[in-house]
Amino acid sequence: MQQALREWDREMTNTHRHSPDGLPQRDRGHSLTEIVISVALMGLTVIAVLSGLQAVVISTVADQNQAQSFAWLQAASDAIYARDREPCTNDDTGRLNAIAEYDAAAQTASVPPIWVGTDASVEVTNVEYLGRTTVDSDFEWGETFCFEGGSFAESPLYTQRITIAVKSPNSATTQTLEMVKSER
Amino acid sequence: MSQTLAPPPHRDAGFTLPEMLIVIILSGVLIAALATAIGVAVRATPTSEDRIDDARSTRSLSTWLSHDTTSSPAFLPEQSVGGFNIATTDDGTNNICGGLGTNIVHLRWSETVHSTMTYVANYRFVVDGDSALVRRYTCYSQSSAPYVRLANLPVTPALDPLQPPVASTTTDTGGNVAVLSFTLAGKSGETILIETASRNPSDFFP
Repeated sequence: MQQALREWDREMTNTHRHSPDGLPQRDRGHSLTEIVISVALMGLTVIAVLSGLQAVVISTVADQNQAQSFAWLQAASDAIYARDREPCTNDDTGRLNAIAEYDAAAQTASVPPIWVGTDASVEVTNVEYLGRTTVDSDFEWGETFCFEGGSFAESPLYTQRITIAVKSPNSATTQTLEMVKSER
Repeated sequence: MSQTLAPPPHRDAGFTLPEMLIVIILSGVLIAALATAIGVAVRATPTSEDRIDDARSTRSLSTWLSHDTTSSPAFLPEQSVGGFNIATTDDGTNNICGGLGTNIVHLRWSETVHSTMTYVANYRFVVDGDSALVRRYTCYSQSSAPYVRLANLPVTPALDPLQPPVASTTTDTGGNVAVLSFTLAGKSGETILIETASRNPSDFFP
């Protein structure tokens, strides 16, 4: 038994514990290549973890922005709904005036408290009218379909489609809502 | 003839154990400092969970409260055809659905198709131990029959029981509700504000 242990020790000493440069294996340390690879792997791991955390934060902020935008859009649409319908005219001045008037109503909706002091905004971006090009054609939304002053066949429903847009701070998200307005 | 072993070239020797220990200790100090800085930054900002909860509250209230307010006539106080009731104490008319907790806003309206049905949507602040939430109770009645409970829906996640939501109104020249403001202390520390208004009677579409 002792003979066998001595043989094993001799073999280990000659073949494993000493490298070709003569230093014992446990004193050699790590090579530069090994250290570089280790550091690179650790760096990749850290980057992956931090990227995941960043993605979570960004997604939750975006979710909150979407919810705030939705609430603000609804408040603005209620404010627009509460005012009288703005008539159009045969030329485009009526439509542009309607956009301005409805936008003024939208601005009465309170800014979400979390966005006070930021560049977040609500804006009426367009007004269209329900009409058709000829008596026999299908109804469609268009900027030029105006009843007042026109023929009944063009816009028989006095119906308007108003587009409202909310931009979150730094224009990170933009959400729009289209509401239909008629006589009140 | 003896053969001496030449010392190995320095570039092949690798790092020694003391060198590695020093590097590891320095790395540990740097990581500890970095972790402390990140921890302070994370504690100073709302957690992702709080932001998600606030978004959920905002979205739920925008969805449910806006539609209920739209349906209800703008009368304050309620009249026979319905309206708003924001009294926080039970006045005998703001808990028709028999909900728990205290009233935040009580909305009632009628719809007639073949027969007339009266609907109620009641938002109440329900405290349960060290937690609380907003619940939406709904019920209906046909003619003068007793009200029948439709739903008991949690609208928000758990809230601070010491910070109940507040409903307030601005009125128009006729004394009716122009805007209902529903204010809630969010879990992230921000205030959540939902503004909504009645659309009853609705637009006339010829």
